[in-house]
Amino acid sequence: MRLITYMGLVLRRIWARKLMLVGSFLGATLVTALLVILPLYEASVSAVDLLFTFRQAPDESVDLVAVATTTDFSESFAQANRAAVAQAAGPILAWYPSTVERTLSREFVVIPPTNPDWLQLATDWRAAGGLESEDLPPYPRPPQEATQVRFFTTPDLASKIVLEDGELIDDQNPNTADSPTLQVVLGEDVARLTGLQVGDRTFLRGYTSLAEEFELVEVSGIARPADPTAPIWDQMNPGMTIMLTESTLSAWSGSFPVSPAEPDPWLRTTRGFGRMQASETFVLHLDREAVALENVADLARGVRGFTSGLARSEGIRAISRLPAIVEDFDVRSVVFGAPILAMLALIVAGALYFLIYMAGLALERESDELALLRMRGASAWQTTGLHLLQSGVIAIGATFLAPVVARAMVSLTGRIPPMSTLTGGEALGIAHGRSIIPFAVAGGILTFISMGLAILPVARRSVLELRALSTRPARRSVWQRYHLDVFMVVLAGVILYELRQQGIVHTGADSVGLDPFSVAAPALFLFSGALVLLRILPWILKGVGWLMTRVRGMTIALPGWHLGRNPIPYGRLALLVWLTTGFGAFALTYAATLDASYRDRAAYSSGSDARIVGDGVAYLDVPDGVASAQVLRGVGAPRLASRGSEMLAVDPTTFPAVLTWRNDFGAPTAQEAFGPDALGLPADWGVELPPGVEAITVDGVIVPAAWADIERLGHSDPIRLMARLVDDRGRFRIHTAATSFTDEGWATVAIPLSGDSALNGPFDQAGSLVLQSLWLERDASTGDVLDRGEVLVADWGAVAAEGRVSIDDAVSAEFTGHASLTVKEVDGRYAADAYYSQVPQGEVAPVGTAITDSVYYRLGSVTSLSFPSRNRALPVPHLRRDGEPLDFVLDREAAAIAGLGIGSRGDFGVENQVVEGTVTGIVELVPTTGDPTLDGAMVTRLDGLLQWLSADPSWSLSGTVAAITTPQELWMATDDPNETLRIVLAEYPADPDEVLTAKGVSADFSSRPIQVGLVSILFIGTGAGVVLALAGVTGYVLVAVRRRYREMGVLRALGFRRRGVAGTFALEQVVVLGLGALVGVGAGIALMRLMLPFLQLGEGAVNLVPPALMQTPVRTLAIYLSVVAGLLVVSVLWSTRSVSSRRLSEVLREVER
Amino acid sequence: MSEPVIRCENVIKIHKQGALEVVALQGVDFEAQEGEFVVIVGRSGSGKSSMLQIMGGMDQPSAGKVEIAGMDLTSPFGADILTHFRRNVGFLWQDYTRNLVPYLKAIQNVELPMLLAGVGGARRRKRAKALLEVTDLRNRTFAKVNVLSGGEQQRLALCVALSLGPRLLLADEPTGELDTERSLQVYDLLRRLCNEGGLTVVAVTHDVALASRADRVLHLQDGVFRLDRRARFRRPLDVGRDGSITLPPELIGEAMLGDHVIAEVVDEGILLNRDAGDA
Repeated sequence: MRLITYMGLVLRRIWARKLMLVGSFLGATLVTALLVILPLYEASVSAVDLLFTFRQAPDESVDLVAVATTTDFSESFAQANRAAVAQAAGPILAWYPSTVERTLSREFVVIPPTNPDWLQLATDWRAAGGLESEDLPPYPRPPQEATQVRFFTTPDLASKIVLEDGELIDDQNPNTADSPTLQVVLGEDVARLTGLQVGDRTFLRGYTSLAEEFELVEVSGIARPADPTAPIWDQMNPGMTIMLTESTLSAWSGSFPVSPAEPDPWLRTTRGFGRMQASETFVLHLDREAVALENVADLARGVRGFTSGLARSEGIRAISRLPAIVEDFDVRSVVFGAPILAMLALIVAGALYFLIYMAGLALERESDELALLRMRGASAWQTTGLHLLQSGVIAIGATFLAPVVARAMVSLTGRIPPMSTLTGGEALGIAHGRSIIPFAVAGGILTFISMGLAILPVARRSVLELRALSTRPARRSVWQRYHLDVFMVVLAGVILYELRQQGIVHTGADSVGLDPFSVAAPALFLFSGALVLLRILPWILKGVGWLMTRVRGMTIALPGWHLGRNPIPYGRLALLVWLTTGFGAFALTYAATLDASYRDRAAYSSGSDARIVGDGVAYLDVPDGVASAQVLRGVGAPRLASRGSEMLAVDPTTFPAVLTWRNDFGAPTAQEAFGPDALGLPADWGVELPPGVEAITVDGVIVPAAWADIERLGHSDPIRLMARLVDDRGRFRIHTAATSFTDEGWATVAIPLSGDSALNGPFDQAGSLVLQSLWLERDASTGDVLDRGEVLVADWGAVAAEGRVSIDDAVSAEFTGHASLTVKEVDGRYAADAYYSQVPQGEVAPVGTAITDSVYYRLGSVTSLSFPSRNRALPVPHLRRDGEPLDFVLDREAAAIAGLGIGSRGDFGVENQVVEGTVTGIVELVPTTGDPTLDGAMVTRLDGLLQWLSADPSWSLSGTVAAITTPQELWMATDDPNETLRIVLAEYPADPDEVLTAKGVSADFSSRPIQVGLVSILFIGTGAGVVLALAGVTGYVLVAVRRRYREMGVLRALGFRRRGVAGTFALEQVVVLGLGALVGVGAGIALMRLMLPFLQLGEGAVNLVPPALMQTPVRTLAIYLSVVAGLLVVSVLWSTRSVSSRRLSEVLREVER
Repeated sequence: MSEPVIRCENVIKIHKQGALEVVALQGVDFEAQEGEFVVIVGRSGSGKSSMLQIMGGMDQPSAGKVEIAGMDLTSPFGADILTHFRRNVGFLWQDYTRNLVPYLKAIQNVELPMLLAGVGGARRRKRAKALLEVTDLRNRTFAKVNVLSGGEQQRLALCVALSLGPRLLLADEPTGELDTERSLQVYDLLRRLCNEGGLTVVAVTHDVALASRADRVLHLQDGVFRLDRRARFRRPLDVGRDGSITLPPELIGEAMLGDHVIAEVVDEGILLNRDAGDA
């Protein structure tokens, strides 16, 4: 009963002090709500991230695939696998409700019987005695060019396809017919490519060396998929299949004897696709909507169970990347959850301080009443109990209200930027990762303790002390009296040291955990910093006060005097402002640093504003005003080390202008890192041809065999002269002479150089061309061995519109023979001598002018180019310039591993070639590199490297045109990457392999829900901080005004005007607030510096490359500070309005008391 | 004679304000009996409030001995002070906000000390009603404090002060904010409580009217009591058979009487005035 009476008293107290206690209640609710938000927000953001992760992931990453491969396909095999998959998939049916099954054989070659008539060929072969002859191959070879197809089957095939023509014949059993012919349904593309129609026959030959494995089949139908988008057709082209029902494929995949009644033309004893390799694939498609935060762990477990379950079944294996995705998600949640939790801890700590602060203020206001209660017989326990009951009521109210507020706040974050960009402006869905009740209760207890603590220093005070509490300045805090602040600072220092030593994330064998200290550390640092401020603030205020007293005007001098005399009471006010502005500054700095880090990472990843990767993209035209650079990416090895490094080959004159560079990458500018000073001057490719050159001409003859031999064996095969040139854009162009050298006499051979005539063209007309190499090829295929030869050449010339220019000297000076090409000067009669060295019987060898008149004779000396016989694997004999040693810039890692320093010379391995080089620079990082499978990076000059890589021509007239090493990337510096890409790619015929823009990559980074969530919580914290600061300052000033009525009365009595008194008072507060805010901003920035390690962890809990650099958003901070200061000044002025509005008589009456 | 309710012996109180020491009381000796109404007068800073605070148990003397209703208040503060507040002393201040809890109703204010002291609900209610009856506030029982007049608030404060039945009531300018009529109501009430209830009242005031109703008026000056002349020279004088009264020389000196006096009969007796002719 008495408790009820007490409670009544408490409730009346609460009601009477409602305005003051509303602040405490809001604070308590906020603290509790923030604690509830902790799991709620993290879970909700994680849930969005999870959804995002699974929505973004391609099907092949999240779908389950089980594959059974066999060389003995049968229905029972398929059914056994089906049963095994169904059993293993049982526990994960909730996520994988449907299974798609298909069986594909290995490739078969479709050989239409009329092209050539292979059946006839076989018959002819047998008639020619192929069986008896060992000289002939066992069977006529099938043509190389053929259409490749696969057998396709799936249960209930008929429902999956639509027959364009013909029919699908089921249950074809070869064992029940004498001379069975397989009736097949062709995919549309097969029919189109082969021209086969229903009723036609064709050969299907296994894509193996087993020549006897083939069948003559008949087209019974042509079909297309009923639903081309159905999962069963994923990652395959149904048009290129041959469709059979499962039973038919099962029957024909075995071997069966050839009917004795009709012997096989190829003399086989068995038929069928006996050793056909087939893969039965089961695809379990993930229902992404079924994945939720609370079941994702079960899903990952289930998938692991599925794969391990199938592993026990023979011949079938399961593939899934889902557990890895979930693991990545978990790691990311921990890594990015850390700062979120740290921010929330900071906000909670700030709000708790606000609570304690408000409770202290409330107690100051209640001190008269407490004194009265004490005089009326209340014990210390009773006054304490009253306060605690009051705190309890507030805490209980907050505990009930907080979850509602928390849910509202969390869902609200979905509606405001930046989270709204992900949710489409919808409220953020609330996910319950774990129960929020313990957090709500913990919040309630925490707030109760925080508010209740305020009574402890007051409870045992005497009546007179209580009365004095509301009128006299506070004493030094408990922290300072017992030097607990020093202890806290030391503790914070120790924790910082430990965190630096151990890291904030611990990666275990199967999990990634967060060091709880890392979450508490920021709050601890801010708190211990606040305690330090409390200790030094009085001195600062004394100094400021002293300065103010130097001013003549009393309105400024008086507050200065007051600040100097009694600085201690201002500590709490300054602290509150310090904490809130500190958090705000920290949040803004953190967000700016995070944003800059995203941009830097994106810029590092893309290398420049825009980058295109693909064959030929490096030579695309870019719009005017856009800088571009060609880049070749490959693998190299400094000092021929066994460990490879990423290698970039760049043009030093253009590359620095497009490269996004940070001066901490190892050089002040990109120009210094990769400019001509570092990578050398442009390479000398060879013989520079005059502008507008249209052809290269040369006189030449194949050194003939002796006349007698020619008479007997005939002329040798002609030899073609070929040339490789480099145009002004660095493109290689391969041209061939219009006519060949022959052994029938000297003739002029011309190589036309128009862009259209290039074998690897066409090219647009080039501004200038440089002749890089010249080589000789036999015109006709001579089998695997190419005959030796010798050609005499003379009088190299370049033909342009202005006439012919001799390049003889240049060719002689620049080019030397390579790949066994022997170059020597011989007399012009060399060929004639060879020809007449042996004359046919009855002929007389000519002498004198008869020789000089010969077609083989040339006056003066000529150049002999001779080459030995060679096989196709050897490089083509050619003339070219020797490559020059290259300059290399290595990154620190590559240099350290290879033990190289600046100035080191040696051989470098580049794309399987050995290149001489010198290390001319070492940088820390090279943008776009970071392949974890390689060690470090190296950069060299593009044209110089191409000289080495493309030194030996590999093109051969008797083979296919070999790919020339060319830069495969185009980097661009542009203000409008999207528009530039649109223009550049408009002329590119295919889809490039990769298109990257720094902005796009940055957007990808920053649009990850968990990162957006982090920024959101920062802004929420900042907003909450400002609100708390306003409430706290208003409360403080109201109490301070009340405390100093008398002083104000005296001032009024002394002749101060109302506004003067209010102004004096307001100025005092503003000075303290200003100091607190300024120190707070500094502290926030300092805290950010301490928190920087949080940012250095990437999604995979590994350090970011490039590392995040601290960014101080000066302008944003100035705006923030101005807004907060403005609000606080308004709050102070509003709170002091009572001073200016009171009549003098009232004030004086106050003085009398 | 019964034991005095208040016994102060050589009470000294020194206030320290930083390095400065202010002697508020310099060896005060004072006793008050049960039912006595004592008024302490003096100028600001004379030590009145210090005296009251020491007797109220809110402050400790720097030296000397203070006993209230047999309880020694000189010892360091302990649990006894609570008993002192609950049993021995009631307070009545000039500022009613220091007397009453503003958010409670009249009867709740009266009940509050009893509630804190653990008095049961029924007894509490009965006693509160009785007190309100005595102070003529019965019709304001459930009124909120802020709707009561100044006099009513002060009478209600008196009820609160008396709710636990203290032996001593300490009042600091109890009528300071009241007009004459209401002040008189309070005076009469206090007087009646002394006379009828045996309550000892010590009041600090500047109000002459209140002093006139006191059994004793003590002048506190520079930290010590100075007895008023009326009390100092109050002594029995023999009346001779011839009706002559011999005045002691110090009385003649103090009253600066000359060779002649002018006698005047007043209600209380005979008043002797100096003869203007002697000057």
